[in-house]
Amino acid sequence: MIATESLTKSYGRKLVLRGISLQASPGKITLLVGPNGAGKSTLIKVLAGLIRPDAGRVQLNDFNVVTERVNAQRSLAYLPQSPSFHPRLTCTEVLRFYARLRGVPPDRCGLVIGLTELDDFAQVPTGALSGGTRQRLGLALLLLADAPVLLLDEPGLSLDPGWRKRLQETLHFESQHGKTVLVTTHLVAEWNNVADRCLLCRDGAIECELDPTDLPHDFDEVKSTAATLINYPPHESRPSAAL
Amino acid sequence: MNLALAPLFERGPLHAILAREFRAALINRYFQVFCALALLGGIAALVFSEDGSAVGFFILQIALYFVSLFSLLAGVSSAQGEREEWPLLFTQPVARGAYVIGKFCALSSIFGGVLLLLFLPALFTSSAATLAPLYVQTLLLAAVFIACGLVAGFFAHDRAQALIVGVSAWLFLLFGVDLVALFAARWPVMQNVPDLWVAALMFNPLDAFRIEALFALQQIPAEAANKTPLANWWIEHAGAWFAAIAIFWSGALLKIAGLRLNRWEE
Repeated sequence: MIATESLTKSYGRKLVLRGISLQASPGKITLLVGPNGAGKSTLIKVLAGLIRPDAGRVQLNDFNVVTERVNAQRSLAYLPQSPSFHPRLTCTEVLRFYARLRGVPPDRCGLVIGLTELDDFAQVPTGALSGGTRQRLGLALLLLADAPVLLLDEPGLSLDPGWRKRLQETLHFESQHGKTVLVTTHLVAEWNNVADRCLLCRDGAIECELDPTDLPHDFDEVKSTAATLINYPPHESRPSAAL
Repeated sequence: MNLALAPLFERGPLHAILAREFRAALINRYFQVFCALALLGGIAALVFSEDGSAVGFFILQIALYFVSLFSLLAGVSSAQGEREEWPLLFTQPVARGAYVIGKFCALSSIFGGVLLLLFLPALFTSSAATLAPLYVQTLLLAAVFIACGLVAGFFAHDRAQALIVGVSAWLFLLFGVDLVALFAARWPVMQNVPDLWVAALMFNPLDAFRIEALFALQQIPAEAANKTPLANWWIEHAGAWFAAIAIFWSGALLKIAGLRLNRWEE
């Protein structure tokens, strides 16, 4: 469960998040879409504990991300936009390190290597990997933790179409098993009929909720497809009620 | 253990960080070069020293100029090595200070081993009893500069900036403090209260190391020099003072590095 209430964040005079309140439930894929600079990445980094909000509350599975960061992070796995790893360590060494860090049984490393088809790259230093393969290693790390909350920031940018599809199937599988999945992306059309909910983020605020089965190709289209807009946040599911 | 410090010393994460740091050190070119230079330095100390007592002085120079520099470079390299990985690392359920503690402990242990290459050849002409204190002091000196390198590495935006900051700090401690003290000696206030001048040197880990090692190796009686009361006390307790100042500097620098990581935002 992810719940935020009135989150604000500014860099100097620039207000990046303007009182964002949202809720993402277990067993669902929630999509956060919006144009570049809308504040999606900042929001997901706040959720991951990488950025401190100026005001507001953010909770992951009953833990406040700001005041109980380490406890909150036990329940999350995060895939950054362009994951980087120690360039001279191999994929296996990287996975084993993160497994030890999180107290995950080491045999799970082999499992996620198989799931992400990294077997041929297991002994290759990460500095020698292509962008797409590195992204797959990031996906392997996301799955390694078996965390109840999965946060993905613009995943699939470096992946080929086949692997983008695999990624969506994997996230669908994880959400079917009760995980809370939150994905930010600006490639909206690719996620048509994949997510359970879709929130449009613009200018640091959640502008509206879109129909996840009829996502627009372009954010400019959103104005003209008013029929797909649902007022956000729905009154009965306001995060304040859950917090 | 203090509850606030407990997350820093959680066994699982700390073991993971230590293991990774050892592995990374094995493939780190700074360590490979340093291992070779340490061994060469140890052999040179043995070959070029006229007698057994001179070996210690030779090693002292190596410790002052090379061990301090290489430990600083190792700290910078370790901190900068995973700079781009921070967004992944810092979303793991581990106190950020644990990365600082883990790196420091791993690098200090590695230096403990590598310094043996420097000291072992000297055992052919000098006794272990003579060399052991110098080994411990050199390790303490390395620890201070590892911490210094970690701070520079964690604060800087890239490796070049970290190296410039780190090496500048090293040059300042090596030459700058002495130069400032030399100029300051002309000031009336320093002439009236010479202990101020002594204190400036006492707090510099390189000067504290140099004085401690020189007096210990040369076995100069404490009352041999014309000293101020503070200098008199310092020379009488040079070993303990150096250990204290090295622990103080290491602790303070690690604290600064920890604060830096805690405040880091992507």
